[in-house]
Amino acid sequence: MNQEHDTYRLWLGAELDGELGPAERRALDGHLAGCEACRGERRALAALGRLLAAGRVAVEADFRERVMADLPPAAWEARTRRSWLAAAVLVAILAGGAALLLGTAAEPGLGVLGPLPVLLDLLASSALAGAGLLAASWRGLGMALQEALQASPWSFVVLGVLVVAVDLLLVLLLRRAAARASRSR
Amino acid sequence: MSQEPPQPAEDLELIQAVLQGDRERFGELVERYQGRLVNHLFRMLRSVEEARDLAQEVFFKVYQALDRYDPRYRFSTWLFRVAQNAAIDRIRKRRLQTVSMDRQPDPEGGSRSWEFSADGPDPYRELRSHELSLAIQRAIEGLPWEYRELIVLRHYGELSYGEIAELKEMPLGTVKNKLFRARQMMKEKLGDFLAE
Repeated sequence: MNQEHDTYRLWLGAELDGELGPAERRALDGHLAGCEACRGERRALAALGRLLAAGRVAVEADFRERVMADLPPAAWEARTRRSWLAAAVLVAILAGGAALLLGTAAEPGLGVLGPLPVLLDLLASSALAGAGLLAASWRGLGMALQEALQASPWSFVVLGVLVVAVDLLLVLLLRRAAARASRSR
Repeated sequence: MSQEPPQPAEDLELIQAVLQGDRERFGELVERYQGRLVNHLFRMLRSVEEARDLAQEVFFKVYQALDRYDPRYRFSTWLFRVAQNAAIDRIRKRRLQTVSMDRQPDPEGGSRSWEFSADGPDPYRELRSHELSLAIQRAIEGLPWEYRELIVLRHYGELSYGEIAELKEMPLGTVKNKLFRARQMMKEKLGDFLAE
């Protein structure tokens, strides 16, 4: 068999697999019209394809249901649900704790709203410090720490924990955004 | 390896839905690939029961690692790679139990790789199917390993040339050439059945 026939026989395989391009198809059809040997090869390949297909086995009707019923929990399932919940709960607890602590130092006469402006200031400082940490803005962090230190040791502790919590939340958000971007690519 | 994302969009959509918490959508992926996966594993392992068990395990593994799936590649390629590795592990374990994969299937023991249905309409036809299945198995096992893999991936995994090239990390032209040679060998080995 010469090289030209070898090419056509490769194409016969591609034809069997449904992978023959239109140009190849035209050339192959032209060749087959005048080549009995290649027509015989085409018949043999088609018979082989049918034979191999006849050797396939059926999958049980309830295969999918069984897989889904026994599907084990994946680590990523727990991670995605719990990480958000844990971060949110942590921030809420810390915010509540901060409100309680700062309420004792609030100006008298402001009632239950007394600690609110202080708390908002503190949260804003924490967020700035958190963002500053991520952007390596040590100057901003230093200023925030100085202010906190001057206020009271409790403020310093609360600020420190809030900075860590906000940073954790930001890191989670960034990781989630990066994973989503990677998946959608 | 191809860097294009030529996979069906639905695979990726399903994966994203599952990762966002819609666990049941994984069932659609199972449905889509179960037949091809079980048949592929059946031809690798010679046992329908073992193929079904292993296919189930493969789906479990894929589910558990779904967050690490790289969408630059086709899902089918990833799934079949996990299946290939699992099948090779299974074959290695068998070899440790002193059962050689190179041994021709024993006609007596062959019945474990094929199931007769008690209420089948035509016992002769079923017997013929059994004989055919064994002949195909012998022909496949008589091929060199790399050809055997390609025939099984193409005819039982029903993977495209592009998917096989991606999975085996070989050029498309090499896939075509090797499949061509593998089929020539298969035709010789199955000559009696092809003549019928």
